[in-house]
Amino acid sequence: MLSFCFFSHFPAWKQLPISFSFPENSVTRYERRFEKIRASLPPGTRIGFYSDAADGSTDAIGRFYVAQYALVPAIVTAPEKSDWIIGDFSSKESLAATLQNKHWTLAGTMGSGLVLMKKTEGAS
Amino acid sequence: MSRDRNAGWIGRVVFLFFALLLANVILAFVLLTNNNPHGNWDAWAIWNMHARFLYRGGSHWTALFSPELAYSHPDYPLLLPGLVAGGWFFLGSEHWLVPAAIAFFFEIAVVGLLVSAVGFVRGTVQALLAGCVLLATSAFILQGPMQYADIPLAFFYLAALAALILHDSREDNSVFLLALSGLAAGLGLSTKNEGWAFAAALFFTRILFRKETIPWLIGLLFPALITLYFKVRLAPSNDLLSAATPAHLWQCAMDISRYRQIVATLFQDTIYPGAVFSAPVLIIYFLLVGKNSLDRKNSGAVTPLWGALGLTLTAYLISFLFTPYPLAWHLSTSLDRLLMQLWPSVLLLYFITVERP
Repeated sequence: MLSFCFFSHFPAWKQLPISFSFPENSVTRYERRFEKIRASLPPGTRIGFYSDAADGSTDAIGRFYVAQYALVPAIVTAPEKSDWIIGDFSSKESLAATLQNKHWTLAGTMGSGLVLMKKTEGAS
Repeated sequence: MSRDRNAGWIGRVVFLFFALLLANVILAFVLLTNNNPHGNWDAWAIWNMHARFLYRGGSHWTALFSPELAYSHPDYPLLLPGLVAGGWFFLGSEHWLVPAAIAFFFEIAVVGLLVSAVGFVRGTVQALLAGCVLLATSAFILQGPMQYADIPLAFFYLAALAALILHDSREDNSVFLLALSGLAAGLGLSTKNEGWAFAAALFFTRILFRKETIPWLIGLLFPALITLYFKVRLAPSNDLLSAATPAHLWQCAMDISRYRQIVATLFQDTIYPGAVFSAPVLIIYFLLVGKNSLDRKNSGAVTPLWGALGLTLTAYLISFLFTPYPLAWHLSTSLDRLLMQLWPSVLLLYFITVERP
């Protein structure tokens, strides 16, 4: 039984990360970018969120959820449910294309690819 | 522990293995927490996010019940988020170390409780063996640092059963241990919805085996009433229950492939080589050493508890049968965590049931 115990925990080690960037990880880094926005949002505010990750991808869902995690106690919604939208873009070209396609206007930039956008008349 | 007659060289070897495996679990916890200080996906999408609503929200904390946050299961009880938020209030800052420390506490507490409960009834060597099997379980090593509610729930299940076993093995028939067991079951249902299935199963088996239940119910009452109030007055309806229309239930119940898929995944997680739960070793060990024949009193005490765990597992599997989500996805993302909730309790009952080496 003891030798079985010794060998049976090996599968777990395959999944262990051997790195020391303590305590930096993707969630920590990602949510740090939202600190300024969070400070300016009154509790209970509803604000849309849009990222340029592929629709329905794990990356898009993950970014949305981390944005919500970072912005508590504000409520992050789908972009169609709010006039104001926080955007998370990986490039200026991607931002420009989105503003044009969605008929949104840029209301402010917050650094690290984060922007604040507002819907124009007739925008979705 | 002093009653153990096997403590000798076997005891020293088992203790050495136990210490190595414990060190391994602690090291794994540090490495995984280093990589994910906020825990894994469900930790920051559910548990720690709810804690943030409690800590940051002030009078707006109830915003966590908003329909937009349905993905975060706002109907989940608030014991764990409450503990995390309580730690932040105590520290005066929202430090990532608080949920990590709570996760670490429960992981180590499960080991400590299992070893001390088995040790009290069956001696040191048997207790350390139980601890070794738990510490060598891949699912246990990996799930502790995730900061999910499954390990805390496993602790409350284990505490409920351990208190009942200790009660039944004592001569004075103290009601305190019965009430403590009820309290632990109540804290379980205040931790995760699955706790209701466990508490109901434990209650049912106590009635079936004509065991004393009143002190147990008194212990259960306080946390159960608070959680019931939360469920009725604050929380939105549960996603699984909301989808349970008669047509959906009938369609799922008649679909044989769903049964096959559930059983196959259950085997995959428990029996197959490389499974995250080491069930085969328990079967082989039982065939080698046999059932405990001397300690009939304790063996008899665990029979209803095996029944309670069996009923709880059945309830879990039925919930998969009727899930409105894609079955393969639901099984792959949660069956191992649900099994982890029961695993320390299974080891407790197993090492009381089998003969000593």
